[in-house]
Amino acid sequence: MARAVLSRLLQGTLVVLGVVAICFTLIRLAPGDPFFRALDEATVPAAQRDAQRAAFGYDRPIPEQFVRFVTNAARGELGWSHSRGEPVARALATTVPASALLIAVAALLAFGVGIPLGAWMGWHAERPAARWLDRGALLLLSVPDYVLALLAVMGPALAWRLFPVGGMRTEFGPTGAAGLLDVARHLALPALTLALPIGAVVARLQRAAMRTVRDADFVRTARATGASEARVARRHALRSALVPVLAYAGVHLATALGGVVVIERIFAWPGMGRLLYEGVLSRDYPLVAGGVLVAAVGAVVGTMLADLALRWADPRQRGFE
Amino acid sequence: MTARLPRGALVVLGAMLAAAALAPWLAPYAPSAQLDPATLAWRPPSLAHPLGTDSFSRDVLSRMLHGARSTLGVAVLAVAVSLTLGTLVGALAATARGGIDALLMRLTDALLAMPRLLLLLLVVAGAGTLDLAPLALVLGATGWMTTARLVRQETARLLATEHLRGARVLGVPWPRLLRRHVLPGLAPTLAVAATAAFAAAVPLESGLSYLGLGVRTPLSSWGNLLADAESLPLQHWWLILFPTLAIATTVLAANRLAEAIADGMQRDVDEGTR
Amino acid sequence: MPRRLLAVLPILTLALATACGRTDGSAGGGTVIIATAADPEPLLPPTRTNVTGRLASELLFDPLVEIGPELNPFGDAGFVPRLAERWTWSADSLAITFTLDPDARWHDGTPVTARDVVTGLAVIRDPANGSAVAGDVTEIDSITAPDARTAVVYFSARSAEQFYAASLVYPLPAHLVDTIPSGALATSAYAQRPIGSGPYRLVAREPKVRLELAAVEDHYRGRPGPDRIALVVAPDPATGIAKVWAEEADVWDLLPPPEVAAAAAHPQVRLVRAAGWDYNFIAFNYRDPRDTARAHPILADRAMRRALTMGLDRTGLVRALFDSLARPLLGPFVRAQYTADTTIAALAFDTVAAGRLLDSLGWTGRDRAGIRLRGGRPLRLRALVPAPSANRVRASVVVQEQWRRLGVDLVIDKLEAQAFGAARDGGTFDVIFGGWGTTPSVRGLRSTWGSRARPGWGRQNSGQYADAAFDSLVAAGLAAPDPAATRRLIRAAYARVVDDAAAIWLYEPVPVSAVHGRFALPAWRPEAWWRTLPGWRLADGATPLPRDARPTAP
Repeated sequence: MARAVLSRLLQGTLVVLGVVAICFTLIRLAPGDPFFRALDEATVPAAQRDAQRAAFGYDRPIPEQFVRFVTNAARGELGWSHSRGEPVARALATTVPASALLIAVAALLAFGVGIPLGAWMGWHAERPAARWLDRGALLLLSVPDYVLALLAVMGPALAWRLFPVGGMRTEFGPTGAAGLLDVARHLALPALTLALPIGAVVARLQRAAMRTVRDADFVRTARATGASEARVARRHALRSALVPVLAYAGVHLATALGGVVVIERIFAWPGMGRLLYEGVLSRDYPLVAGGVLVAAVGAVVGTMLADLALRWADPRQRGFE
Repeated sequence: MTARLPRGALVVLGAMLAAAALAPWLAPYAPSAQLDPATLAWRPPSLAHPLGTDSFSRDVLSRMLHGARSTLGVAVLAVAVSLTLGTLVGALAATARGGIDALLMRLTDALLAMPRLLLLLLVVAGAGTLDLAPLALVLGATGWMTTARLVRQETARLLATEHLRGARVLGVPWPRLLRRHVLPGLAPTLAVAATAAFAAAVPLESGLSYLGLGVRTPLSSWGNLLADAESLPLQHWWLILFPTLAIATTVLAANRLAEAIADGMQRDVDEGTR
Repeated sequence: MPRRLLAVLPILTLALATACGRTDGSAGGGTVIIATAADPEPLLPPTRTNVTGRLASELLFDPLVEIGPELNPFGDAGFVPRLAERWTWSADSLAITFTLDPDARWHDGTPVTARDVVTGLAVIRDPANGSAVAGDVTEIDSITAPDARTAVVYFSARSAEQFYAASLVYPLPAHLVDTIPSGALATSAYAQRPIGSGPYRLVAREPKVRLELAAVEDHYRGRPGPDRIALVVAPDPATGIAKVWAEEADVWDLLPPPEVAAAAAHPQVRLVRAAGWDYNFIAFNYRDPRDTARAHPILADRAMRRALTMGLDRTGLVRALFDSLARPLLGPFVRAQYTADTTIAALAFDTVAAGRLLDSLGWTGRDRAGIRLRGGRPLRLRALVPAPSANRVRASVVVQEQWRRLGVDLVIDKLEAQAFGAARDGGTFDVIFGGWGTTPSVRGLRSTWGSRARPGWGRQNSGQYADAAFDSLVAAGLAAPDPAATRRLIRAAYARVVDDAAAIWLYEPVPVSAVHGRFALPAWRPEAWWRTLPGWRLADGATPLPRDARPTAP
């Protein structure tokens, strides 16, 4: 067991290094540099820009820069974000919690509603209501996420004034307990927009799994023991039907950040997706490297947690590794 | 294989592909023709323009029809690329095993752990604007990882079957083994992967357009039709509604098809026909 | 809009302000929330790179003197005192002695001294800071500080606008800035939390998210009106504008034309129109994109540039894109500038003449798509368009279609800011959709259209238009001792660049800002509206919002 965990950790570290290396290289190959000024400002003379590049070591070969980044990162130093005018570590410290909150609440909504709904749909797969729900979920999956977000801003937020349009807090708004409520109100729309397509996938996976399990032998046996239908569904069928959903949860956590880039931009949510997007556009090399590092660690840890959950839900999986 | 294919989905996909192919004959106007920007811009649907006009007074119906060509063309090409790459990597990993397998799979993991949108952003940032074919290549090159994993799993399963073990013992050369025995066995898996990848590529093209990285003007695509709606989705509803409907029905149909094929495979497994 | 004297309001509000101590729940000067798509970048006046950065840095810092509401850059008559309370000219007009306001303080309480003025120029002049102002203060030779309250600005030559140059120098606190080594200013703690001399001080900054400013109670010019100002960043403009409609924010500067039409649905918001100070154009590349040492194979020919200009219906383009919210551009100037020449000869829209001209240049063949050919090669031009500018992206689509009818294939390279800048600086384009912000002064011409052969000129002239006669006229105009001569010479320079068809002059937008209706606004400053902010107050009878409650004193 210890060896398996150790090997998993080692592999995870390699994956993280690989991800960072790819982004590290790609961003440096893109035209421009961190010292580019605003769109139409006077062009900074080439000599001056070269001097600035040299001051930060961006004129060195990319592998050398990468080795230096890794050694510095190992010491906890992520460098200076040019576009934000602050250390990368501080930039991450303010944006990671915001994204984590958004992703966590969205995941909770998606899995919390998707699993029971999908289970119900699977158990009663022949009912017309279940079929229509399934089609609705499929339709939800097919709408581009930014269209959903834009409609949420223009409808519930602007036209009906149910929720704030954007941001994380009311400017000069309440603090304390009322402040938490304020954040919750700001969180509602972006979390819901992020959760809808994920929830649709979860519900459909759960439905399919539940349908398969429903007719399996062990469920029939459980029924034969005289347990109530609801109890059979909950205790026996659901647990083993959770497997594919939990496997998906790992993949979802790994790619969650891709989804929040657009959502955070439209809802002006101060998180990691926005940070990375702006970092790429402003060629903020240290910021992109640091952000990708955190995102990759998050993704790898997420996948591992999902694997653990998988082993809990499906005892057969324990035989592997 | 005994997949029962959903007729509705096939009809929708067929109609979309037909619209794309026949766009020059079906479209009432040239897709980039600005009829009269000063007076005909932002017209809601009418008899003359069944789907309205956009901010440049271009006919939305004509742009939708021609847009189907770029959107579906890009998606199909992207799927072809990701399928080829994914099959190569997956099959190679499964047959080579050992170090090469581990290396390829960790690379796959690394790319999977990276948000695809970020990867695309980085690639497009480096390349500037992309024409249709390079755009499809990039979409394909960033979307092969799930296929690779599926193919590796399935290839490993196939190689472990009695039939193939026997072939190996008999000394059938690797290329022939793969071509004659493994690939046909992979076909249903690839069909699922392809339709799923197609369903993912269509909305991705529109997402890229929103971020300003999509299909280049004057070509139209469903994605840049949406992006041209100029952030007033309620006032100019027809600019959002029709492209979204086109994207949604296409993705819906592709998803249904993928599921039907997967269900068919499942039935085959259940009934022991493989 | 009530037009009041800018200076009266701060005094009024000061009287009100001193009456209140800590919070009493009553509305004080109110809170202004400015929504913006871009983060204010560098908060220091010499290094700011975008308009939002200018806004924030000019609220945090005061200059020596400031151009007055008439925007007259000649001599010193149109200027108002800021950190300098008065000034005297030397007999030869080559030196101006500024006497600093004895009450002027930095936000940390230290008095503003003449040494701070010297530091202000030093930061502009240090190449490591990459200050965009450096090119605009070239006529300043040096600044000395004979005593704490006296700063002397020496000029290398006399000119009509030399006082304007002095107004561009923002003193910086020597006791905080002089200790920062050259090149380290951008990453210094001071640049992140600057201590300024302006009517507002920095309270909090979350990069890319928000910036909070508070009124300086004991400011030497009087306490400014609004108690607090916050800048909130919404990266998608649609969200930022929606925040103003939903009363989550109070100001959005520069509404896009479709949003102006949509504003009618939000009666609590007032629209402020002003004269425009930006202009947009299509510049031609005079150099070969593949080898900048050579002339451009197609566009170096004046007849070709004229044909492309005549083939474009600019009036139609402006009407289609902006309706009434932009005016066709006449040359490298906006109508609000004193040198503007509305009688300048423009090339008329004439597709027949344009076609004939292209025929005469040998572009007589046509391919299947209708694109003109010469020697089998299509007439294809690559246009560089910045993706962040929605207006320019839309203009490029209209131009593409109009030129297609002429038989010209325009390939649009829509690039994000970095790639755009790299391609522009590398000269790898045929035409570029550009835009410049102008100032009351015309000194910007040196860097926008001046030739790179002159030292320090042509830095923004990406198409490398080079005309010695134009350069001489601009140089003479800027050195002329009286306004009438400057105007005559600069107009002659305009005539040259327009006659050369160095660019296609597209449009000058009419800026429209959305402002919450509860504020009574002083006379608007179109070139720098934020300078009016200290004069804002809650209108009589207007219902304040919860955020207007006067904050508790810490």
